Amino acid sequence: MKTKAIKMCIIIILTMFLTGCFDYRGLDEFTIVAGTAIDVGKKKNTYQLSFEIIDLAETTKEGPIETTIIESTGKTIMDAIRNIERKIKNRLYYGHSQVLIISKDVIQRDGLALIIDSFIRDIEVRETLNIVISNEPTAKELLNADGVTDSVVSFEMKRIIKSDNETVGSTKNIALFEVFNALKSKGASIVLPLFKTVKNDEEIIIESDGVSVFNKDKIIGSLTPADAKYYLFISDCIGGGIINLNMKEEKFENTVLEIRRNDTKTSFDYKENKFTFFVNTNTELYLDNIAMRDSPLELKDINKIKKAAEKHIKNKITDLINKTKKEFKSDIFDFGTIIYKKNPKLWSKIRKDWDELFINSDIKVNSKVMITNAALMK
Amino acid sequence: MVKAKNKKEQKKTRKINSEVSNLNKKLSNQIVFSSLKENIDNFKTLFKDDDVLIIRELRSNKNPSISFGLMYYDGLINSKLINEDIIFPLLKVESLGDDPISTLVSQNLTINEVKRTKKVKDIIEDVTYGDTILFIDGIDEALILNSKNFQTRSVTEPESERVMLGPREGFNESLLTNISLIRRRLRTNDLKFKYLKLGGKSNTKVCICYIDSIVDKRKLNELNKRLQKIDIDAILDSNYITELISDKRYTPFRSVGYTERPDVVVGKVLEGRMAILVDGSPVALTVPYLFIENFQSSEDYYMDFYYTSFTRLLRIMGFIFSISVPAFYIAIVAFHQEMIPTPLFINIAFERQSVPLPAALEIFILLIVFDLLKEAGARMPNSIAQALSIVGALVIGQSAVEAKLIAAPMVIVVAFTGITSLLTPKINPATIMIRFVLLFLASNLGLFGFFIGYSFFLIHILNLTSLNTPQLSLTGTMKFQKIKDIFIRFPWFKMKKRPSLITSNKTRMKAR
Repeated sequence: MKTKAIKMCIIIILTMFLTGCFDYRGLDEFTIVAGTAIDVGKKKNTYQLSFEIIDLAETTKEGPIETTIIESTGKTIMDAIRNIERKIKNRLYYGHSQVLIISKDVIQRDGLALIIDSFIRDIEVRETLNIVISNEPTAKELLNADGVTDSVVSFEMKRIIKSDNETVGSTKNIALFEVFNALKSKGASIVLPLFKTVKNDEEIIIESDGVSVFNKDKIIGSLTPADAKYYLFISDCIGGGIINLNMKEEKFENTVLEIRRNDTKTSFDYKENKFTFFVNTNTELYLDNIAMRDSPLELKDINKIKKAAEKHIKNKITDLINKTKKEFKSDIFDFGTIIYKKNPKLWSKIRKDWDELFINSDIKVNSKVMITNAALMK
Repeated sequence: MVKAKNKKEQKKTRKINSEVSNLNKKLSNQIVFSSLKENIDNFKTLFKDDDVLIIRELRSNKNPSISFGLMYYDGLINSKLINEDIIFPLLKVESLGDDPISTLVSQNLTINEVKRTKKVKDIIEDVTYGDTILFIDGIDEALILNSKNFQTRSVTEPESERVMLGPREGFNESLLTNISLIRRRLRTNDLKFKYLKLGGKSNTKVCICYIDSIVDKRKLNELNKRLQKIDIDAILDSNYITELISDKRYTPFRSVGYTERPDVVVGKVLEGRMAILVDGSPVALTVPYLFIENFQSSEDYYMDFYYTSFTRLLRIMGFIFSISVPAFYIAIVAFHQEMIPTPLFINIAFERQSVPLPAALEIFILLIVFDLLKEAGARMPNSIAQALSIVGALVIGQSAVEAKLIAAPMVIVVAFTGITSLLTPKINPATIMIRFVLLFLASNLGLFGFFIGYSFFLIHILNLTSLNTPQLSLTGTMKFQKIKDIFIRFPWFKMKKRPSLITSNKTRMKAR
């Protein structure tokens, strides 16, 4: 009995001290980082990091959350992160950090993989952190902008990216771990959200500006917000946004359709060293706006709009694919993964020449549209 | 030196003990004398230094050769009854005939309950319970006449188990009143009341109550065995019995149910349980006790079943919240900050700036303060208790936050914990204990410790039995019929069976 009790005690004590790697940490020992910006340092081969931190000393109960930007430089990113401890009392806490903004310069110098590596390895950083590319000369400019609906600009940026595909469809929401996975699998190209600053009234605010396109871990170009919408169509990520149709012949000027739901299925066919891709989109639309007419809207009118919308989507997608083939010479739509999933053996065979095969492939787009709600007024 | 002294003292106490037991043994074998004078002298020595006992000698005025001795305990008796129905007829006795006792009982005394005895021990027990003892000169037997009349509290609604709807009667301290309250609700010969006497000094009357056709006989035997094993000098409340017949001795969970309401006892007895009534205590015990009974209330069966199912779920949730909220909060705030939604995290971090104590210590102190206030309020008269709660709420709640002694979210957590614990008063001792154990584990190990504690208590509860009946069984033995009164109270027309864990006579309603 006694030895049993002693054994139990030993086991309990050992489980207390020999397991896990966490530690008690009071909430007053944190410096909460909301977002980080990475720029090229002034000296050669250095980094300049800017942190947007929550300034709990300045925040009051009534007012909004106050933030401060702190900068530090270092030979490596970790060096710069640690150098900041010379300026502030509490250690930086990355558990609630939402965005990582990187300038184009630093990516072209070092490559994306090297830059985000220490963030992936760190235990504190969320896997759902968003990487944002700055369309301004430096990444810091985005952090310096003002938030409109949120006083923390990093949180505002995160919310813009998150809700984008349901409202506008102008940029892509891609998490840190997805970027990492894409970098590991060699065929895949990455697109990352692109942001710029604009002047609004007196203050400078941020705006999403399409996506930035990568080949391996270097930037090769960008898509405008309008193109990004059809990129989302192809990669089956779109869940909202509007389509403007201008059907002058039918006298349906300024027809506006809202995307309710979309389902894109891509399949491929491989014959005689040539790929053919079939992109089938199936979209559910609401009719939002239509020009004033004499007679009421009839079923055949709806059918006309439907046909026009199908044609519009099909053309836009085909244009975008042709443009990327020409401009980027790279598979940004991740068609390679589709081949890999269906036929891994074939994929390992053609993997080396994939870029060339993609450029030479045929794309057949088939768009189907359903207008489910015309909001008819009787 | 000290040891030697201890040994001496031990010897001394052993000696005293053996003397006392010898005396008691003598007493238990002692028999009534035939001479009245001897009897009176004997009881005067037995009740030496007790001035309340009254012993009277009477002589019949028709036949002065017949003399009686009356003995009763002042304050426990009905003096009018003794005057008119005992003394008056005794004074008129002319002759006693061949069998004086039978003659007296059948022709003279107008008393409803009469017992004959020869044992001195019985006489002592009954005279101290309000009976009058009648000795007849020349006869070595005594009569015990029922003349009980002592003050009891009236039948009121019990404070601890109030209901909005349903019967409002509650037990009082008199065993007979309590039995009458139960009997009135079940007018069948199937309902049995068995008397036992427990307690070496107190000789407390204990009554086991059950329904013969429903009760599990093995469990009844087990209960009898356990009750007879009890060896204690006095039983002042039913909780003495609770602790003496529990299956597991060291557990914060109850294995014996309690209630102050006769309707609850009847309901439990009808499901095959046994009730134990203790004289002098308004609290009846029921066994076997299942874990879910902690969350059941008599009102569940008196009100609409949709509503009561909802409130029962609330009670179960309340228990879970009450044990886990402080520990979970500490685990998350001190170990797993990434689990908190960002806006909430910033708010809590803001509130925790410049608070002097670490969160774990702070919540520990606040919980102690809460229990302190509760305990202080429980013993206070109502008027003061109100003032106390205002002072507690204002001083601890508001001022402490304003003075930056404690963080505001902490007050919310503690208040929430306190309120939820009030939902399940029956399991409160266990709630408080588990809460502190989990809090300790969580503040040292985070969620890891929290779940270690949780698993430990779950295994412990699964191990609990009440009268050898498992208190909680998990899904392995789950059947739909069995869970009709667990989380959701099904309507009466659906509950056609009695709980199978308790009784084998399961049919409550004959299925149509």
